[in-house]
Amino acid sequence: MQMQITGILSLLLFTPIVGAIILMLLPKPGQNVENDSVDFGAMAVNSVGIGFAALTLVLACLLFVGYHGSIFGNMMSGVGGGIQFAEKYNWIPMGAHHWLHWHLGADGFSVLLVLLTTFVILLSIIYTTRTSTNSREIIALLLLLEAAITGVYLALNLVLFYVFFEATLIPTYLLIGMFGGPRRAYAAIKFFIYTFVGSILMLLAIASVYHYAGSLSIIDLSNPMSAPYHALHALPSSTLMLMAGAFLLAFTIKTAVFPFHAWLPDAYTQAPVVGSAALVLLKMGIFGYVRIAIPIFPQQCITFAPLMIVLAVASILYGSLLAAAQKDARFVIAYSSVAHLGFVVLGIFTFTRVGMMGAMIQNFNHGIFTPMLFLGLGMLAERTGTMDLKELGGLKRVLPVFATMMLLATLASVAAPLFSGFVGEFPILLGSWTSGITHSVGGYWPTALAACGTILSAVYMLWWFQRIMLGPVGSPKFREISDLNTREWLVLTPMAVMIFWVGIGSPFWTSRMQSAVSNVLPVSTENVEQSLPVSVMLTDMRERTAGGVLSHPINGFLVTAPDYHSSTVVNQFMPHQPLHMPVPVLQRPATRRQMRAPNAYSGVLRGPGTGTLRGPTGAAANPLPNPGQQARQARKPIGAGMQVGPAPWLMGGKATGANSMPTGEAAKPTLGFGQANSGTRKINSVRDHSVPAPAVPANPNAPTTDNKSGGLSR
Amino acid sequence: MVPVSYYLSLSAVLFTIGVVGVLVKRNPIQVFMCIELMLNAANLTFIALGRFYGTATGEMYVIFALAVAAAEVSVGLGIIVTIFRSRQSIDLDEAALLKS
Amino acid sequence: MNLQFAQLILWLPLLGFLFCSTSGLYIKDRALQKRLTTVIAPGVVLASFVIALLVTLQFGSTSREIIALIPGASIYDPWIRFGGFRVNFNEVIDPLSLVMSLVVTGVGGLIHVYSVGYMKDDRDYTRFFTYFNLFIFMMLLLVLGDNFLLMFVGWEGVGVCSYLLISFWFTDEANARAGNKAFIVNRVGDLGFSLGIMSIWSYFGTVSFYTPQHRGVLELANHVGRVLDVTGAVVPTTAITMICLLLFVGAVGKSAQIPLFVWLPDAMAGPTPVSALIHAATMVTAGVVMLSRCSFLFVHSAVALQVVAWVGLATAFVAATMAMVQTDIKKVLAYSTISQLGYMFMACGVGDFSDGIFHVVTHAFFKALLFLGAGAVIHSMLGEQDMRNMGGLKKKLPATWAVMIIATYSIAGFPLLSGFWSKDAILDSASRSFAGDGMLLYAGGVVTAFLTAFYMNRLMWKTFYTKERFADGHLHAHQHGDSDESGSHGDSHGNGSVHPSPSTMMWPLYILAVLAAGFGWYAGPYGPNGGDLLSKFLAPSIAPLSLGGLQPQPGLLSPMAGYLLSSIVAIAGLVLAAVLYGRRMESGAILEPAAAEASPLVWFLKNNWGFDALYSAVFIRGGGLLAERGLMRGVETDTINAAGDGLAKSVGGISRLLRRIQTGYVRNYALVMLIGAVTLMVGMLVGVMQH
Repeated sequence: MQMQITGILSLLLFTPIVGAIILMLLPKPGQNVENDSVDFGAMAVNSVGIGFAALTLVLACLLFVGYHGSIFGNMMSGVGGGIQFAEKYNWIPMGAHHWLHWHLGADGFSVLLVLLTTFVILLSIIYTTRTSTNSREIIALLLLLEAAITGVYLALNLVLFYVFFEATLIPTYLLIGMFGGPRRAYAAIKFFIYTFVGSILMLLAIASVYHYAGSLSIIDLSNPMSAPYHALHALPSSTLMLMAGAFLLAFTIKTAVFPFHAWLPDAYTQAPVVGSAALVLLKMGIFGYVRIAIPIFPQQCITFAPLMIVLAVASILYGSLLAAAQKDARFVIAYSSVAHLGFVVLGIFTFTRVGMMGAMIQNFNHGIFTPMLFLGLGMLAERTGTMDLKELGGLKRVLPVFATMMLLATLASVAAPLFSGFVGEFPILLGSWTSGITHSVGGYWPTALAACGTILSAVYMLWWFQRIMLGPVGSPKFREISDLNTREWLVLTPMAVMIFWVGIGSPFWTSRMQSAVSNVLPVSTENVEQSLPVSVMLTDMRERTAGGVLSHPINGFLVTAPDYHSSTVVNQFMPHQPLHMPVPVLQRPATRRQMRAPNAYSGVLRGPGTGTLRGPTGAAANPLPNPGQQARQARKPIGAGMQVGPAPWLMGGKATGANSMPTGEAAKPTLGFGQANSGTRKINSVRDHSVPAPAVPANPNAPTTDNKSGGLSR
Repeated sequence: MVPVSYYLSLSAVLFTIGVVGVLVKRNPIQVFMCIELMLNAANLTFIALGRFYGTATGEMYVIFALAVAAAEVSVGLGIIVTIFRSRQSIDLDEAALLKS
Repeated sequence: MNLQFAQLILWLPLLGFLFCSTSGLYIKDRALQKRLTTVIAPGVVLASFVIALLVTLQFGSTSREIIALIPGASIYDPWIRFGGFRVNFNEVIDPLSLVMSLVVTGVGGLIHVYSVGYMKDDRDYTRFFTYFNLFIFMMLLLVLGDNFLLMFVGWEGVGVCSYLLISFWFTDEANARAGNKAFIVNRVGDLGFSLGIMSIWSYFGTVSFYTPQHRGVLELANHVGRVLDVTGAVVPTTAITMICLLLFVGAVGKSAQIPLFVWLPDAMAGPTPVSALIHAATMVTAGVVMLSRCSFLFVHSAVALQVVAWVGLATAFVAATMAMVQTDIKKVLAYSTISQLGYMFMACGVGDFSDGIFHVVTHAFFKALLFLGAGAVIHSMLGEQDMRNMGGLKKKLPATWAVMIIATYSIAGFPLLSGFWSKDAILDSASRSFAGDGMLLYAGGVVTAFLTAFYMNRLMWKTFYTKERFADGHLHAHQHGDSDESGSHGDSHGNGSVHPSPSTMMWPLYILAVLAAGFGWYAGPYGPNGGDLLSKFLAPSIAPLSLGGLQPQPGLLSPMAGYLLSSIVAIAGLVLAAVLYGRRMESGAILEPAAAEASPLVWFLKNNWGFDALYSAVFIRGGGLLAERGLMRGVETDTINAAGDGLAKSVGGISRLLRRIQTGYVRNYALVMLIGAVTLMVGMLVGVMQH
């Protein structure tokens, strides 16, 4: 289904803003209402809020469904994969014939995250419709936040990206600072300044990029064939490292990776409940990695990658251990966020397709089950008035449905299979296990330690669940509280459905990201057979070589013929596709172990001297021994010419002796156009106990909110 | 003739006395008197140099400065009266509300 | 019958689960809901069993079929596709999966029927069957899945169900903690398993067992003396060993071997049918199933096999010693399970995987029988589980006694019963171990068999034969949770005296007793149709030792002598227990209670050989200290937050310093103006004069 809606992206951006403006013009709910009459103010606010959020969600769904995940999904019209729904207008003049463009576009990652954002914001707005007297302001702020976050995901111009990146700070700051918990001022300012510092550095980097490259367009800057890219990468390596470092630092702070995570616990726990849910949507750091940092500075990111992996693993372990040590229910979830985001960062910086895809899915998952947990805690706080884990207990007996929902979210967080968390974490760990970068850090140890994170997540989540839901009932007054009402059903059920949908039907969600991942990772660094099914590829090879599979060793990394052609087709039809790899040179490494040596990929990506993403061009002098050929010539059976020694990983990652690979040469021939590969087949188919702090003195005549669950709200 | 430098040094001394008085005095009336002293020292410089160069420019400036001084003093005295009315004291050291 | 019906084996329990879980939403009448659950929940499992039986009879062991469970999926459109990682949702119908699904659905179905009676008065009746059906589904996924990832899904799925079922009576904190412990210790094992799967993918490029082009993991390993990866290169033995050891770590966790066995005794906090099904018959045997499935990999790594064998033997022995001093009837059976699992691992470790599966099957029968019988005893005793308060039940519960004695003799290895055949097959293979340590394994196995016979008969004597140590007629009901729940069985029966169990609970016991007695002979070496029915049936699924180039050594004892020796040992153990307890009919205990409390040896044996204490000290307390003091206080609060706050405070400090310029005194401002003006003028003059 090819959508021809132009301007849908701007519509997506401005709908929530219009909604927020209209909302603020409405009267404040809760005024002028006598005891039993209907509160028209509240009704108006609620319907306008929910209406605009629902409209935005519909637009996001249209975007998601209308986005073509497959390169060849619509070859005839020349659109498919890559950036779609693009719009580009001249926006701000910058001197003689230079403009700052209003340049929006969606690719696979964007559509998923936009859908996530609109989905969670809608559910948060539904949740907040009756819980607070300040619902008008909160809903308006949430809509503004939604617009800003969506803008980040859709921006294709660096300055536009930065504008939206910073624009998210304002509604968040106001949400936390005005409607938060007892330490809200501290938390809001800390959050703002922490993330702002990184962003300032990013602004400097953007300015320097513009200065040297002359362009602010993300598409141009990430396309290795374009002039701005060349100009940028002609700079000395230290400058490039500084610029990439600035970008990475900004995104790292935003993602709350280990040493820079300190803003997260305070912000998450002092925010109002819906604020916590909305904060989880601040995934712009992760998006920034895959949209900006890695495509524009690929070589520098690869250099930084070992450091990022170390930080990611540290995040996982640190967040998990600290989550287990908390006494307040919300803090446990907040620190668990640090751990989950550590997994995501790990997945991205393994530079494998499995890992990156898993990371993006886990990103999505985290955005579903963490708000579910926070909103659940909010519902709990309304009823029991406390978030202290010592006081809670035994609530499963009193609130069975609620407990089941929380159990689903807990199991998703713990990565039980058939739940969404599993299809996020397992590919991440798989990518990490097979990634050359992780191996260069410490062999298999980073992955093993990260996998220990799954054990720890079981420890703290199950303990959290037990302290709240199981055991004897915490206090006699808990027996009176009521189970979920309709509004809360409406909030929790879609998230539960999503958890299972992603866990069981993941192809629906991953299909749109295939090409996006391939664009970011042009050459796969996985030490394993590539995206074609193993058996099918060998069948192709068998047919082509007509010699039987085992009569000569097959290089599993050969670019098979269809991919070759399809790559050139890609050149012609999709000008927006950044072509990271020119014509790959077929190289037959001698043995699989040579392909698996730790610096295999770097021989490909670190081209001669320039640090560009070029493969070995014309590597004619290739002194690789090729026992395969010798075996063929000597007609020896398989296995005769192969060295069978201890694997490189046992030798501490260095291949020595005859197995060593000449550095700088391609040990691993480029698989080449990942997008082409995936395109050869049709791809079908992923307590806070917030005192509603009156910023102004509450109207003494205003009645209490009709909060059915009674309890201790207010 | 009296050398110009005598006049100028007299002006300088008067000016300095005025400056020190402005900086040291706590009574605004005294401060104003010292300000007048500074103004008159400047006037003296003008007249001396005007006489020295034989132009009437210096005297012209003095006429203007005297008029401005009069206006300024009246405004200043009005401020002092207002301050006195609200604070019952005109001690300058007590008017340190801008202290941070 | 079309083989496609085999899909129903998997889907029926899932349908049962879906019905039970949502029935509360649309069936408001609790009685109706309960009746429907009673019919549907055991019904789907028994229906699965019937279908599995038909499939087995029709197809035997000659074919291996892969059935796609998602319509429309193909190798290009697999269930999971992440870059190069492709996983299908298929089931594999081959002898191993058929045998195991028969066991799971058969024994599971019988236990479902039993639970109808056992859980009758529980207020969470439907929730129980919801979890139970889900468990059957997950276990079937484990045994029927055609690739490692599906097996892992089932593996963790049964872990989740185990957690839910152990903490079923969650109002008691101890039950919740036991559930947590089970899940977390299992997770430690799952860590190894998942790393093993990742290694497999990185070497073989696929995680499927069998693929249409014969490039599945097990097919690639099916070459004599070497394992090929998909390009035809030979995978080095060290890599195979690493993979096997990682997979074995998973098996250690799931099947409660040393050192990850500590969760199983605590898991007895769940209802008895749960213990019977999950912690005796099916879930804990998943490790053995996995080892057998991966036999093609293991036979290529002698190191891994030896590790398996010795861990199995150690576990068998250690658990047997622990079982000798337990006083809770279910705990004895729990340790007995661990011990028998050790036997199964020992069998696998010497390459005799089919005898491992043989013991899995017979163990399922007699252990389920023992647990269900113990459950009948507990039910009759209104919840009493401590054997020190039992005794003399032979007259009161004759049917229960009869089935339990059959099971006890079977597990002890009394000649001609099931356990005898399977255990002896294991001991025989162990003595022929390819690594030459056969005699040690055999000796260890024999000693453990002796201990097994002893403690099982000890259980029987303490429970049934010795004098009554309770006041019949004045039994008070043991509650399973809140004081306001009728979770126990006392109220509806009223009179507080021992009474036999209803027939829904007894009939499964009779069926299991027949199987526990006769199956060993039927499937053993002297069975009908030439004997060794089970081994012959399983042969296509399991790799022989010769595939790895290993050979069994000649054993010292001939089979007949082996039979004789094990019979003697079994009877000796039974007799010893009878003699020792026969002399203490009144007290029913060898040691005085006070002496038993004080003895360090008894403490050591009763408390998991100190493993619990060690783990608690190192991980729980140590981890807690690390997390709270070291990380939370040291790093988070004192370093990172202090740095951030310190930065903010330093900014404040600097500003405080600078603020002193604003004195508020007009004369200071005037002075500053003067200085500024003078500086300016001097500067200008200097500038002018320089030109």
